[in-house]
Amino acid sequence: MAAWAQSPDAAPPAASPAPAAPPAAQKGFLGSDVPAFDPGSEGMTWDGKIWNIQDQRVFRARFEKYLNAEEESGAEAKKYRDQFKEMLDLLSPAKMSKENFRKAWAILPSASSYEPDAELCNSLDDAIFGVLLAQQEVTRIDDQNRSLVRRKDTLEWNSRFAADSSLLGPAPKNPAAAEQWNREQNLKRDMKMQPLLTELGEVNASIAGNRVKKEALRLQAKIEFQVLIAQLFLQRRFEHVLLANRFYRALFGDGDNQLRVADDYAANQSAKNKESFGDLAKLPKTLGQLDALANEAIRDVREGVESFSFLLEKSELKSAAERLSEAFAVGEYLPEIRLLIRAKKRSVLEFTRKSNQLLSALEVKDYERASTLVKELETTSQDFDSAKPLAAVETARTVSALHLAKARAAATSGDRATLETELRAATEIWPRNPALAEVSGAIFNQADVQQQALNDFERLHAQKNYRQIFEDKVRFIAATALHPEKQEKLKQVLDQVQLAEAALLRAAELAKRGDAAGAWESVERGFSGYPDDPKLNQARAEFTTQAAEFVRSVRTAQEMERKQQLGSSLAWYLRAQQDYPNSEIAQDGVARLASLILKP
Amino acid sequence: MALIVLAGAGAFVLQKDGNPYRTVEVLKPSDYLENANSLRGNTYQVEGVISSSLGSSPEKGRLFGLKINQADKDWPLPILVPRDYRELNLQKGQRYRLKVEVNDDGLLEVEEMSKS
Repeated sequence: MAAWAQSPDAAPPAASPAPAAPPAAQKGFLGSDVPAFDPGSEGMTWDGKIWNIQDQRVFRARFEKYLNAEEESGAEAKKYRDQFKEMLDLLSPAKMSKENFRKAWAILPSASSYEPDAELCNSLDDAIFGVLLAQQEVTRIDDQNRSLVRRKDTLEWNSRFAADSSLLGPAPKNPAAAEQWNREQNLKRDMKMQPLLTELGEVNASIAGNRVKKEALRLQAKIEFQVLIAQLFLQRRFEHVLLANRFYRALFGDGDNQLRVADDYAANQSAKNKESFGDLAKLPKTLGQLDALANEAIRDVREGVESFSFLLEKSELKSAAERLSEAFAVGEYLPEIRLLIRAKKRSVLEFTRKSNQLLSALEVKDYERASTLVKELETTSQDFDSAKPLAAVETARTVSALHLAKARAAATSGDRATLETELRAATEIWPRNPALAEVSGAIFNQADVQQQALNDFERLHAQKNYRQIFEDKVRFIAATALHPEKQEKLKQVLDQVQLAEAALLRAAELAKRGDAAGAWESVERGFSGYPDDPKLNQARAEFTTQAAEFVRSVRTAQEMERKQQLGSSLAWYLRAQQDYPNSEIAQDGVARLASLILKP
Repeated sequence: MALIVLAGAGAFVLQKDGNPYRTVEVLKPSDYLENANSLRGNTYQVEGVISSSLGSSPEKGRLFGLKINQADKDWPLPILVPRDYRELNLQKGQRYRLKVEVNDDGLLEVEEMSKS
């Protein structure tokens, strides 16, 4: 059984809500009984239900499977088709006879052995057998009734005879004796007639009961057969509908074509049954209508297939695929569909597959993929309308880009809440947006880079490698922008290194003028603030050699000062000052010690 | 009589150009620079030119730099002129002969001084 065919009211996918009911389908002269396709919404209306053919995943898969399947043109299929034709022919009104009926009935088991028939011919066979059994019972009841009628006639005659015979013989002359005689005679008559009348009543009741039973049997047989026809119709087994109808007419030749399914059987149809087989109450009211609808559906499918072939020749693959999918939806089991050669079907398979992929891509909001597929479909098919999918893609792109721009701005300003909100919004609109990954990656990389820079800063600071911090200051200034305490730390480092740099520059200038002591002193003053700087150390060593005496004086003075030998220290500072009168170190040392010495 | 006059004149000349602290040990600047603290309590005589004024204090006196020439080298040494000599006008470039004591701070503190 075709799951899709049996549940036309299955809810369409959430991503593609069921389109509004096509007005034409509602107001058509056949009402909503014929499957109607609305090309505007790609919605198929059937039995009051609407679904979107192309959006039905099950249908899509089923249609693709069909497009890949080989045409049913084998010997078995041909035999099946021939058998069907033969049965329809034997049961046609022009050739209908008991003999032909028996011939057609005999073919059913054989036709049922063909796998795609799904043993529906067997079901029909069983239904016919059931009707014949019922008819046999009706015949037996008729025979019984005939016997009962004969008995009734006999009883009636006997009653009449008994009534007449009671008045035979001369009555007494004496009035009193005559009256007595009459009473006796009447009593005798009543005694004779009583059993006859009782039996007559029983016979009459049996005849009436048999008549009711016969009618009930006939009606039951009709309804059971009609239910089968209705189910075949709902299963879109239109050829079986036609065949079953002809068998029905052969079995019930009373001209009563009223479809009682809706009135009688449908009233008791369970919800489960309704879900599986459709609402029988909405079926047409006569078998003739059902027959006409089946014929109409077969014609519609034939036209659809012809239209498909024509459009295929014109390379209008979209329309061709649509016509074929419509025809397939209605007449999946009809020969026109089953005999369509695979080569033709495959020519639209690629288009259909890509169309389905496009729908899937749009459903999952993979707009990049959708965009690629639209381009491919445009190349493949001359009649593919790219406006709608492209509009969806462009809208998503624009809105997503707006959110990403806001996310970028939020990331720059450190507004994490807005960043997350905007990124989430952009993700919801276009989850697979390549720019999304790029931007979020950049943002997160930025965060990583920032953290890495902070880690590096802390490590270099612990190592007192201020020179490296100074070299990479731009990176660290950016990284510590949001961390005031680290910012202050960095500022101190940079100030130190800048002082060291200034000292080195000054030393280089003085050295150029031959002032080695001045150069050393410049380096030494920078060195005191940043003793671990390799550049300062190198310059210090170089100028120490060049101004050895002065350096010795200063260092000894400092050493003596450290040992609290104020006199010696001051003497050394004075000596250093003598060697290099511009020495600030010496000057400061002298002033410092003098102040200490003269302190009360 | 003439001999007595000559002897008296000679004695006068000798007394006038002589070192009043000739009995006091001459300070070796190198020793002082090496370790002044080890010289604390000692008295020395030094002669040099005031090269700079390093500061003054009403309580402790004035501090000067005195450049001493010894072994063809100039040795600038600090000397502390106590407040007792506050009325003495000491100026840069003046040459003095001093009797100094290395005080507790290792400084050369002036005990006596005279222009030379």
